[in-house]
Amino acid sequence: MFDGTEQRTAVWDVLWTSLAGSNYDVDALRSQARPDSRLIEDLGLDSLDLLEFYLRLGDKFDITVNEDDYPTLTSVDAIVAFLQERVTR
Amino acid sequence: MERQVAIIGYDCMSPLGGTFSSTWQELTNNRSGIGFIDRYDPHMETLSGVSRVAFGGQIPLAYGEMAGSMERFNRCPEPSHHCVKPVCERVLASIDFNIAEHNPQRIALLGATALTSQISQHTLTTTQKPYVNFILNQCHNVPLTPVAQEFGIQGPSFSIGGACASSNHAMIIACHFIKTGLLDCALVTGYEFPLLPVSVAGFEWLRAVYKRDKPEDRAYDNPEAASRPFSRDRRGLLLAEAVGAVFISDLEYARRIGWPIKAVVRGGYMNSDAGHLTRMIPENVVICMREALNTARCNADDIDCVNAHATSTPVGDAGELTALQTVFGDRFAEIPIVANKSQLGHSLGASSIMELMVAVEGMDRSVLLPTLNYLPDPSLPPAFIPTAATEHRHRTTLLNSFGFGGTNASLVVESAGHH
Repeated sequence: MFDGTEQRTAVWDVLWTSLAGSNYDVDALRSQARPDSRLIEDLGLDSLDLLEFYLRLGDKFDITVNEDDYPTLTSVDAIVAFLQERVTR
Repeated sequence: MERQVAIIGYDCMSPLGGTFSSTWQELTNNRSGIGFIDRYDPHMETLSGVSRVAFGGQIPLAYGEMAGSMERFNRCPEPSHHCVKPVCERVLASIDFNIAEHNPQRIALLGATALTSQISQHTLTTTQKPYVNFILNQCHNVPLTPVAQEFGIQGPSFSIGGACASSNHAMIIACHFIKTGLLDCALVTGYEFPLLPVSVAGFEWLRAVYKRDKPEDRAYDNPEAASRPFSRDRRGLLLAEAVGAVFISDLEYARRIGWPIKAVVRGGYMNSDAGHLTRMIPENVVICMREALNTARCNADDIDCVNAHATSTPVGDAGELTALQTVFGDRFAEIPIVANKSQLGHSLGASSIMELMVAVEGMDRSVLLPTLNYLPDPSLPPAFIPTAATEHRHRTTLLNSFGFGGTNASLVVESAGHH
């Protein structure tokens, strides 16, 4: 099972591998991204990038990410909090 | 006065090269792009028939190179989604296209393909991994979207499926839009990537493809000899990949913009056999060619060259040659007939856009491309089919394309000299 730090690292990894398949300068994004950076407003993800990211998160953490959850999954911090709640519940 | 449609620019990726200029070079060197398929390992495939089909025409780029990386390809595992844009970019760069000079709503972006989406389906079946772009990969028009985004082209955009005649259909429809005043210009593209086990197997089950199963066959160790349209020993088509794009414009509009004019599309006609699913009906193909000549306001005597559909199948090539004999009558034996599929293989829905651009280049440069590997077939009418690239002035070309389902489309093109 993941602890908080491992979980956070794993979420970042999923994000970068997910974006590596799209038209992003991942290195530039990495240097500017912070745990509270907003995925859309600050990092510039579009809706399809978000869907791919959520799909891969579900795969990685073996959970189902529902559409109802999307509004809360706005940053890496928010996703880690969401995962902790899911995993401990 | 009736509007005319000018051909302004073109480019491609083909089994003979990643660009039009490299493709043209190899075409005039009498080379064939047919080789051993290595997109997958034919001997590891379990589908019946796949291992017997060893040859095909591959664009000389790996999937990862087309997409920029394998990560990018895996997120969108359909090669046309990565290749249409660079080809279109080269076409538009070559004509100094600047969207600010045009009404973006009056430029069409059309596609043509027979089987696009099979690679993504195969990938999903193999990996069982969901991905967001899957359903977009099933839409045959979506490879056009990156082009529209990049250049701000906002006119009609869709793809046409007319099997092996798709590109000629798209070209004729685009010309019609321009002639009726709906559009100023159009970028017409064709794309096809049929080298994957399910497609190859499907063609083999239809007994339509060349099989490498006879050591005594002249192509057994020489893939370039496998595609041999009209030849007495022809044994089926060679599946090939291709992406091509041709930019056309209202002739007067092109003059106002200052575009150089390479050729004029004089006319085109489409019909269907209402007959056999795969076997052409020569009488109806005759009608298709004659009506194409009528729309071009000319007759068979005005045609200097035929760019045949000629896929290298026993029945199809015979039917086409018989139909050509009917159309050209006394002139049949003297009119040069060219079968580009001997060099480029059969890229299905993309084949006729490829054949259009090489035919226009040939008229422009007074070069008649070869029909490689041709050995006269005594059971067919004697025809003039050059086997090596030759210098030959010709002004007009009739281009044929016929597709499964009995769908036919013929085009008449004239070089720019007259305009």
